[in-house]
Amino acid sequence: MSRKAVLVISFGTSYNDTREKTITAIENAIAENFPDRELRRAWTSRMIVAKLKKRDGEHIDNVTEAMDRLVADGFDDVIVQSTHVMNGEEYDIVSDTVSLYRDRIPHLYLGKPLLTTDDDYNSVVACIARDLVPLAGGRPLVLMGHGTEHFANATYSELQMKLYFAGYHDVFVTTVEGFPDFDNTLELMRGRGYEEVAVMPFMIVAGDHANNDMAGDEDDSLRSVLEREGYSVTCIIRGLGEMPSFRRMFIEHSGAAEEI
Amino acid sequence: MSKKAVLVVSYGTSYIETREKTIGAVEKAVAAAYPDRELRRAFTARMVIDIVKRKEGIQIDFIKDALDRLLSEGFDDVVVQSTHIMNGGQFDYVAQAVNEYKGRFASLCLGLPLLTSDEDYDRVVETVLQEFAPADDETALVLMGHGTVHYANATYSQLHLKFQYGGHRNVFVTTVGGVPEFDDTIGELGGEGFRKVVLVPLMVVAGDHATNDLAGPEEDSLRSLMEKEGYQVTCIVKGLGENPAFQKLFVEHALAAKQI
Repeated sequence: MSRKAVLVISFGTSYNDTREKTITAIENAIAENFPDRELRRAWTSRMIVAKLKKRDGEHIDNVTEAMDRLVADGFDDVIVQSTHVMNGEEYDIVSDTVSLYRDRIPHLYLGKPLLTTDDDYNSVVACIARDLVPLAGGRPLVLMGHGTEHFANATYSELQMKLYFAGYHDVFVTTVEGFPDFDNTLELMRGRGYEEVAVMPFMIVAGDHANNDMAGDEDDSLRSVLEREGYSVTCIIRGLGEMPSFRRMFIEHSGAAEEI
Repeated sequence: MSKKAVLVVSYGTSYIETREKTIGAVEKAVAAAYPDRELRRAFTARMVIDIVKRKEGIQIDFIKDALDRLLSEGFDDVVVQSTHIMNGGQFDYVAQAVNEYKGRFASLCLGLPLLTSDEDYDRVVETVLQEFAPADDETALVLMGHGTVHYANATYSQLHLKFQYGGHRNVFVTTVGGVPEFDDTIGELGGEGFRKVVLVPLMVVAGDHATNDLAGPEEDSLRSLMEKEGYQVTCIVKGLGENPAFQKLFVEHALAAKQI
């Protein structure tokens, strides 16, 4: 008889409270959608995996360990879904690693990141409108993504354009390390008469980046930068993984996973 | 003694005159930067290769044929540069094909597409402004790209926002088949006080898309849509490959090609 599993791969976080609300919530949502599959977990951040082991004595598989264990346990039908936002460096590693097991797992499927197709962008714009815009309580909303040197950094720009074309002219996308940067976004917001703004991470997990790069006391945090411009800033420290509509998208992506 | 070659890979075009003015010119510029390497050509569009063979009796290599021939002729040091604009489906194909030859040449380097790194975007913005900057405040420049269902379609949005955030609010990027689409761009242009638009293909070759989708008489060409909005339209039906400044960017990428 066929042994089936669904492996959910995330970057990981060492913040236990947000972990339950985001990564675990997505894992459970996907597992519920596949009652005939055993749920497995892997994280891609070696640093966070090592930190958890040292701090809590908890072992979490990396992608290779999780795949090896699925093979050793005799699974022959596996869906892999990553909880990454885009087709960047982290997802490339997931995809490359999982592809190595093509010959050892007869039926191996890989689901795509949150923002891949044009339909994905439309869905994410709808999720933002439904779950995130109301949290801003009428204030303009700045969504802060991570940013990357990988060419997939352009994802943030396409999302910004999609929001604009859909009529959400008061929702801005910015990044910690990529383009658009905080200065670009400040420039775009200037002269619009805003006094208050809400900021929220455009990340699955509200961990280190949300607490420090976004909401921290440091001079170069997004909050500090906006406050210096004279805005009154409300920080919404919640990961996208907490939002049912975003979880729904990961369920859909795992359901549409393609055989590799 | 080492035998060295530089292989320039393009999508291809069956229009002879355009082919030599654009692809041929980029190839020559790359060859001039590598005087110690033999220049080779390959196309990725099999259909184009077939048409050229039928119409002109010329056999243009498909990428793998070109690499096989280099191997059989004893080349041991090869630089591959593609003339693709972005890291889309066509470039994925080039990268995959080249990767299959890893270890079979003593040295095998691959140059990246025009728009890959953040710095590439800045160079392209600078070059576009240098070559096509709008003549007056009433004129907008619209770059028309192909558009793709590949997630690299976001490249167009990032380029667009690089102009907008860089203070060049009179430069727009649109696509035939992706995001932003013509209607999005027309909406964005409206109410900004422009009376004239200059349309330029964001393509290496000015072939079918430039002639028809951009400048054609059909109702849904970019020119017709802009004219219907009341703009005075100028079409520049020239591929970027004809332009020495863009040739130079491909040369820079070829010189920065990395060992795979």
